[in-house]
Amino acid sequence: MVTQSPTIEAAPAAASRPTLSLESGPDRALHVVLAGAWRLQAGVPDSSTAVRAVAERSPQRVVLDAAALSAWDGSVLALAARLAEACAARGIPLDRSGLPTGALHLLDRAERPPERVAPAPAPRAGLVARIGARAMRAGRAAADYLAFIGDLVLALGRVVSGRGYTRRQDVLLQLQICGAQSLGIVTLVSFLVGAILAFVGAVELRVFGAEIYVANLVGVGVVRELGALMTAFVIAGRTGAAFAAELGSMRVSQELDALATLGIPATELLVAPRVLALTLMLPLLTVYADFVGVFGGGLVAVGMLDMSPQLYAAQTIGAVTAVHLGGGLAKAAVYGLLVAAAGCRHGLRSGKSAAAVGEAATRAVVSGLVEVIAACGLFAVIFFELGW
Amino acid sequence: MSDAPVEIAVDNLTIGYGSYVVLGGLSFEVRHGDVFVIMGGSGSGKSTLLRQLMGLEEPLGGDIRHRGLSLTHGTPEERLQITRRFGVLFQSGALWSSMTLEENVMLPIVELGGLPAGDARTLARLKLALVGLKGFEHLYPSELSGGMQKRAALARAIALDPQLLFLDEPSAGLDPPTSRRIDDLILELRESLDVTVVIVTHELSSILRIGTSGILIDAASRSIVARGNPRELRRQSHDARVLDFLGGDGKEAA
Repeated sequence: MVTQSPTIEAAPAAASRPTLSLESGPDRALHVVLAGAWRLQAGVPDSSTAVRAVAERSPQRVVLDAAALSAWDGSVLALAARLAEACAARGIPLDRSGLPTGALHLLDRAERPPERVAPAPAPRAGLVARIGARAMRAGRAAADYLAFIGDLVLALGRVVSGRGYTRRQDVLLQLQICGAQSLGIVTLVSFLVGAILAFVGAVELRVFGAEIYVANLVGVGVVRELGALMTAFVIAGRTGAAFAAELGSMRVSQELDALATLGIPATELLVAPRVLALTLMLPLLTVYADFVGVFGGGLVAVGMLDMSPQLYAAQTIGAVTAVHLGGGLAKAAVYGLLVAAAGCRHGLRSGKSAAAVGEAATRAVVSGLVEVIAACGLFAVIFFELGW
Repeated sequence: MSDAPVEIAVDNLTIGYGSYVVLGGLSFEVRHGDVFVIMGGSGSGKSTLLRQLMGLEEPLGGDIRHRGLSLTHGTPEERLQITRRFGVLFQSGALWSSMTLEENVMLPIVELGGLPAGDARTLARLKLALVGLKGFEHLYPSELSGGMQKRAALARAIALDPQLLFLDEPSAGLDPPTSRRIDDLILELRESLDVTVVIVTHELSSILRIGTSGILIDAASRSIVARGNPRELRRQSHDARVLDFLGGDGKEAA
């Protein structure tokens, strides 16, 4: 079946070098002479030479002479269009009848008036108007944030009371994605945080002969603050961004519109399972991260300070209280809620392009991190006031 | 059969996913200057076949040769040499959303066309004007209707005056007058710039108006059930599947 055919190398009709020359004709005419094979990708002369000549010589008329063209494509059209612009700007007639018939047809087609007129670009607003517009955008964003929180609270209320559209299998799937599938990265980060904390502590506490308190430092530091915080950071980067990208893509493909036309709130079907899953799973991940962090610190303590594993364990158990553990887990639940809400909020509000989805994912991560840090600070103040 | 050189030779091609065969034993040729129409019902594998012809997917078996060079078994350099001759209009338009229409069309001209910036901009505007989007150059794809996005994508596909133009459902989402204008443009490009066109479409009027040859693929038999000029197939074929698709009542479409 396969027939012999010319190769790609043999395909071009002519390989002669493209040239552009300017000649003066009678009656002060400027002849723009094209010769050879004018092919894009093979390189063609710069049409600026001809355009400049029109400006400098102010000829009576310009004539395009393409009799010696052996091959042509859009590069000739570009030259003709630029010459037409230059001539029109100076009221000089352009004779392009010497172009190939096909080129003339295409140029005629391109010059037809469009069926619709494009909207003009908006003029640049003044400084005051720009400040006002930005303030109004900020106001709308704040209102939008509050509306989302309101929707989420109502959705969670309906879900908890069993009246929502949240599907059990969606919650289970999200629990798996947020939990089991995050264990690897949580293990790595928690182990390193525990080890680094122990290393820094060992260096400083050794000065005072208080190496034994490395266990206290790691235990309390990880269980009370860093376990939840680092897990939240990891999950914000991993899962929060994924929520935003997934929901943003659903907006692009009109899946969210399909839900809206059915009267099913996206906050119930899509957001609630994610928020519930992450709020439940982040404390569990934090417990796991606490153990791994303490273990990482223990390896450094045992390796660097010649502390026995039994002593490290006893010291840790003595230092870490139920309040530390409970406080850490309460923070983790709040961090999970904030990260999931930020991811879903930016996903739902995403634009309808690939760039917008990327931007939504970025915003979700940044918002998640900022909100987690702010909550961490708030918790510190509250715990201090409570004497914990 | 035309004596024009063979642009694409497909030999015993089998395409599918894993062990699932979508289409098998396909052999056909696209000749220079053809407007070659891949016809078939929904889900018959037309777009998948088009992606194979463009080298975007690997076949399960067989060979696709472009002007004698194998797209299937060629070296990366040979494949690049083949694909540089393509212009492609994807079904969804696939415009780059972070760029204006002018930038979308300019990108291939600047990066691959070797034109100076001034000429590249002029050419990009001209290509947009060819598809009726004069004055819309500064807009982003998201600011356009679906039909206008499709037209802008066609302008990008013809930016470098490709020798082979692949069009996946170019008329989908367009009103009949715009669809006819796109058909006219395809015919004009073929005449003016000697372009060979491979097109997947459901639009019967387009098929009969611009198609010079083609194949009809059938999902049930997973193979080609008819080949030739669509108008002649419509007039002459007695195959129920052909008549069902092309509506063989002996009348020419407008």
